[in-house]
Amino acid sequence: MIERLKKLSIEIEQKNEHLYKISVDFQDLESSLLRCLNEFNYITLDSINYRDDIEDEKFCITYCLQTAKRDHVLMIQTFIDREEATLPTMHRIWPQAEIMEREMHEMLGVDFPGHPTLIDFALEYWDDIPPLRRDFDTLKYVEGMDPFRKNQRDDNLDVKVEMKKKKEAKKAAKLKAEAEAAAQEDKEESNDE
Amino acid sequence: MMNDTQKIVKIFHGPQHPGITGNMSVELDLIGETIQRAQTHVGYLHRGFEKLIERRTVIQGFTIVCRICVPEPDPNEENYARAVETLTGLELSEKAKYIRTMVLEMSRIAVQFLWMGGQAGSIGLGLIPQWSVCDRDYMLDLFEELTGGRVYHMYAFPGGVRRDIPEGFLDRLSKLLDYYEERMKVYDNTFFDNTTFKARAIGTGIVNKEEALKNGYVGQTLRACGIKRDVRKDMPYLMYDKLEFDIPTREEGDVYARAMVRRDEIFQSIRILRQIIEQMPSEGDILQKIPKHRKFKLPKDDVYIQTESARGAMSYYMAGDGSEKIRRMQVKGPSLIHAYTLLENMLVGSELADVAMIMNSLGICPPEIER
Amino acid sequence: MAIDVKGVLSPLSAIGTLFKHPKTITYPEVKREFPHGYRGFHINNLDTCVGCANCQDVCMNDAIDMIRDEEEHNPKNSSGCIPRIDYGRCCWCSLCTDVCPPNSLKLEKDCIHADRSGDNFLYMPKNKKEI
Repeated sequence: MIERLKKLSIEIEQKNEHLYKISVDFQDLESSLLRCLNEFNYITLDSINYRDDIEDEKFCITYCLQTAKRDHVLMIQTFIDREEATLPTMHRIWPQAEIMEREMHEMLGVDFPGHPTLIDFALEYWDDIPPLRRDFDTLKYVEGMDPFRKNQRDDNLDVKVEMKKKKEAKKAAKLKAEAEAAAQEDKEESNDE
Repeated sequence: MMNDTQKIVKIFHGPQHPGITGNMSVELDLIGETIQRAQTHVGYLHRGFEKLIERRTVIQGFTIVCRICVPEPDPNEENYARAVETLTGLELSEKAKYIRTMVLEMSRIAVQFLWMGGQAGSIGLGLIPQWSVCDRDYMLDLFEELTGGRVYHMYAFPGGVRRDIPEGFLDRLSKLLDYYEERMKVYDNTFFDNTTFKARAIGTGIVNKEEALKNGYVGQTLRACGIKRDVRKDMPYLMYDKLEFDIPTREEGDVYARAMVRRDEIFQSIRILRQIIEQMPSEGDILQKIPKHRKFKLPKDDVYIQTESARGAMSYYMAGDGSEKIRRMQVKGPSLIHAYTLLENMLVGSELADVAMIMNSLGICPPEIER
Repeated sequence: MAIDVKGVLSPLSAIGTLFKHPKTITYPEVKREFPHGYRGFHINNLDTCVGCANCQDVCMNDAIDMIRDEEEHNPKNSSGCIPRIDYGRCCWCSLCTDVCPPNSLKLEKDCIHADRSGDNFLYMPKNKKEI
């Protein structure tokens, strides 16, 4: 199947002998997936993967498809907007997409118009921003809960500060010893005279 | 007035139930004892692994990954190590590849014994779990010698393995495999040929063959329907293209066919391990040289890796962004599709007493669904 | 209707195991031997520990504290601090023993500790040279 795809004028990136990747625009996403299914026999949807590119203000979504022989994986990648994220739902064609899109809605905050069950998947009564976005800070979330046993581990010292202190103490002791030795020599000289 | 036999009763099968393979629940609507509707609920084991990984470097992250799936930690470590090696271009020596294949096959035998205990216990044969958990313990003793821990090994590192094989380890492994081949005759007499198991299992939990490939089912669910698919033969990795083994299949697609496929796979794993013991090279590097942990940077790229675990194909998606921390790691185990798309449709029309048996035969593991 | 004679009679062979010796050991009279290389509690050779805090840097659970060494075991200790480990957060991955430059932090075979209160699990590694 991948040989027939190579005959078209699309750019296919090969990562190793079992992995290929194609990048599409968001408008062509649904038509590309249907074309892969009907014309080129990529009948299995393995998973829908996502990633938050907060510097470019986009989400990167990847659909992984396989043929009936399952001897290679084709990744179809697109970028969508971060503020108003929507994607077309695929659950009428592939039934396993229903649970994957439900998880994406809860963890990333993407909307799927027409999906039958957009309810919670693993978190109950969650009232913060979707947790797998990059601006959700886990350390701030646990601040009031004392996970570090703060009142018992207060004698933790910063090693770099201690190393500096010890070096300076050694230097000061050396200078003092030299000054005393010099004062002792002066005293002996004046005694001799 | 509604007749009493037409009343719908709603019960929760789980999360505290001896017939459930972990910590999840299935909400059932019943009329009498026949199921009209089933809904799966997870959420009792969510530990947030994908968010924890974002704050760690590559070497720190490899110690967390084995805890994602409790009965079977080794395919997770193997996937993580292979994803990092594919992104950065590290190569393994031949001895390290043989050792990693050996660890994967040992783990496969241990998981099949644990499955046998669960499957027999769900019908009421309380004797088989006592024996099979003891036999699995002998394999965990060997893991303890090799890696330092019984269940969470933390052994497969990006670039090789962490420790060398101890003295006399291969002889002890060979004696254990002889012992297992004798024990399987006892299990055949008491479990696989048992007439009560056959009467319950033949004809229940049948998987539809026409939509099995399209819906994304993996593992023994496919092989018991007659479709011969296995990641070790279709997309080979490590040493699997140089070792000889078969893929057992059956035609019926019910609970008994899946049990017999798993029994045949134990014998195939023993066959692979005997070849590895013969062919293991005595010299070679255990671990390639890798940079220190704050200087090990991943390139700005993404990759998708699959490994065959004892229950099906497990996949990882990993992405780096040029710094020493991992940008994104997403885990998809074989149980996600089996627990939602397959189970909710298969249970309609079944009896209440068969729910535990069907869940055990599909190999549903809740920690993998909601990492 | 055919009766499955083999399936009815062969499970009865399990009765023979009533007369065999059990496979378990009678703990606590007989104790179990742990193999060499088991990942148990930490030990630290204070005569060679240099206080570099590599172990604190690599620990992925933030379980290690560096506290002042009152007795000054090693004059070459560049910061005067030695490690103490919080066993409520440690996961026994042994990354800290891999990165120790003078190889003074190791893991021994002992692994049993019980206490009524959760506050008594800040562990100071024993001062031993070998496992």
